[in-house]
Amino acid sequence: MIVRQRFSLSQRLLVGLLIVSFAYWAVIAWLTIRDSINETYEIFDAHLAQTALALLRVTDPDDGDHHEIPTGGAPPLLEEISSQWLHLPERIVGVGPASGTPDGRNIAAAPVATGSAKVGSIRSLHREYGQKLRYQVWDGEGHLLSRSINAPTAVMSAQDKFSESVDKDGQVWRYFGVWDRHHHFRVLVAESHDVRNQLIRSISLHLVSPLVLGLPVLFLLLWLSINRGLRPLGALAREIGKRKSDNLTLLNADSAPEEARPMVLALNDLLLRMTHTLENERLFTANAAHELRTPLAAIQAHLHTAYTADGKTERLRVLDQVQRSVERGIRLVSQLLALARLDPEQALPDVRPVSLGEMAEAVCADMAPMALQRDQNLELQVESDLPTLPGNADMLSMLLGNLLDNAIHYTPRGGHIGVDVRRSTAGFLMEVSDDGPGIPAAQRQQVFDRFYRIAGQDQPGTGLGLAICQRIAELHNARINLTEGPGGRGLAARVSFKGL
Amino acid sequence: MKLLLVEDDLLLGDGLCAALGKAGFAVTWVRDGKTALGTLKAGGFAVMVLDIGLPVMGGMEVLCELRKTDDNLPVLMLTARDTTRDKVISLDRGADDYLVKTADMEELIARLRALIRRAGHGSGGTLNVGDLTLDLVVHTITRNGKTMTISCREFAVLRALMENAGRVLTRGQLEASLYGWSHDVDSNAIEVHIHNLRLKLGADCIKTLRGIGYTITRSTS
Repeated sequence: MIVRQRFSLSQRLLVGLLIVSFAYWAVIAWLTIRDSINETYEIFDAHLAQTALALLRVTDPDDGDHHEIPTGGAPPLLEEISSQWLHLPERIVGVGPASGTPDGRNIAAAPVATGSAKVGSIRSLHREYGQKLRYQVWDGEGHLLSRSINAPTAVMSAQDKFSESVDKDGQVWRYFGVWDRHHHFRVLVAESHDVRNQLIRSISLHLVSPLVLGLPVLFLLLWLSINRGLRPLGALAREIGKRKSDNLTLLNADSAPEEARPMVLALNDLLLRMTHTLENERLFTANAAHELRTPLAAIQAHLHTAYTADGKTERLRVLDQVQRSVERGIRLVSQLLALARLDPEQALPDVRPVSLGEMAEAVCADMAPMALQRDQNLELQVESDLPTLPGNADMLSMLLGNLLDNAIHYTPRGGHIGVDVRRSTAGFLMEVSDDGPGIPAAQRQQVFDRFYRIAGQDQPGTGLGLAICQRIAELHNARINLTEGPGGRGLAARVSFKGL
Repeated sequence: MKLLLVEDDLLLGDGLCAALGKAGFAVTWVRDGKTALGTLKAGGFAVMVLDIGLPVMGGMEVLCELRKTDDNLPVLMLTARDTTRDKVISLDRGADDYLVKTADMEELIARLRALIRRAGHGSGGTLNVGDLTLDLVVHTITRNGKTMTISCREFAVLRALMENAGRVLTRGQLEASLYGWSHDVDSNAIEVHIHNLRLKLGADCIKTLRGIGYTITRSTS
């Protein structure tokens, strides 16, 4: 059982196009997301650094004025920068006695006691975000001067500039630490990675979702345009499909799409050849039937006479006629069969080295009894040491057999028939000559036409023998010439084979 | 002599039946392969004429079945197909001879007689063509009441010619009939034997066709 799936052209095109466009999208999306990740990091890092510097300036605006800020005391000027940094209110509220837990989870409870109503509303807006940002201010001796409520009392990061670490909740933090010019204060700002990740996720989602949602639409549009593009092909298929088997008119190659034109032209070529073949076949069948009718009619007529014949002599004479008609019918049938077998051959089948001499000997031996019955003298001459000829032995035998058959039939009793196989300048020569009546020069070409018979003949020919010879010669790349026989009498049929 | 004819066509079968009957065969005519195999079991047949294109069970199948049972009954295949391939196939499968339909009746009868003779069902061990009688046992030839002895090789050549009376045998075919005696036959050995035979039987009895071969015509007188 064949389970192989067969896809239509549209299906193949659609699948191919979908794969290609999806891959293209995927690459573009990946590149874009990668770039946005980089950009996001840069921006957030810059922001973090700026925040730290701003805090430093606020903490130490005049080169160490606030050295003595007590631990846990709120820096007086922190409010001022709330307008500079949108997200600071959260921290301002949080700044105060380090009463909450080091992390920011209790931040919701803490501000109620200290924060104003205005600040509270801002805080609620930024609660999420507030939990993600912390800061610490240290002095040169390692005292914590100030911190956001969610910041731990221990040093978050010992490193200056950027650094990263994971806290005990599994959150990744990014730090920026900086000292003032005189090395009196160290500001350390930390931001949770979640902030960046959220932004990146949101960018990615906005980028990918239209692509994914648009896929069905793209699918539909591609399907429609493919079907539209293939419409001429469908029209062509329908035109061929709805043809009746006897309609062999050519297809219009101009209206066919460029890609299908070679196919249409090939089809037209095939149709043309089929028309030709069918026409030949029709003609051949009609001719064959007509030719077969003649001997049958003759048999019928003679049999009628036989029934009513008076004496034995009369009956025998009539039966002799019946016999001859039957022989003619038999000949006709075998020649029709031979032609039917030869006609469709494009190239020579079963090519083997054939010894023309041995082949001629066998054919002559076969035909000789017929010549003997007519007291004809049949003679074969084969040049010695002839090389073999590549050919089909059956066909070559038939070729020589037909030529000999003609010679025996058309040569009168006691005549001479010679078969000669020899080398020629171009290759081989096989010649059958007789001293019969010959064929007038004007008709020597026509006798090769099917069913052509020389007028005024009383021999039981079929008009097919030479046509068969011609066909076999063609297949062997050989030529048949008809000329006068030896001494300008009778007929010589000369078959010239190329190559030696 | 009992002959089994297997042929499905009514007209042809009837014609063959009549002609073979006239020629002295006791013809049993069946029209399909299965019946043919059944009839053969009865035994006693000297030869079978088998058509290839038969209904139910083809001629080739019948032949194969027959040869499987080790039956050496001589079989002549009669068929409408006339390519060398068909001939080779049927001879390969164990047919003893092969004739294309529309062949001459006389040829069919002559070949059947040759098959029977070769199978050893010969009629008294003599071969008759015209006024020539060849004794296959004591190797003598009789013409016009005069009996002569001939050599083994001459006998082989004459026997081949007489078995194929009416047909022309090429020198190669005649040489093949001598292979039983010697493997390297002289290039002109056949000519010598024919010459000797002519001396004994008269110049007219064997006809030469130049470049082709030799023949004894049926009407030798």
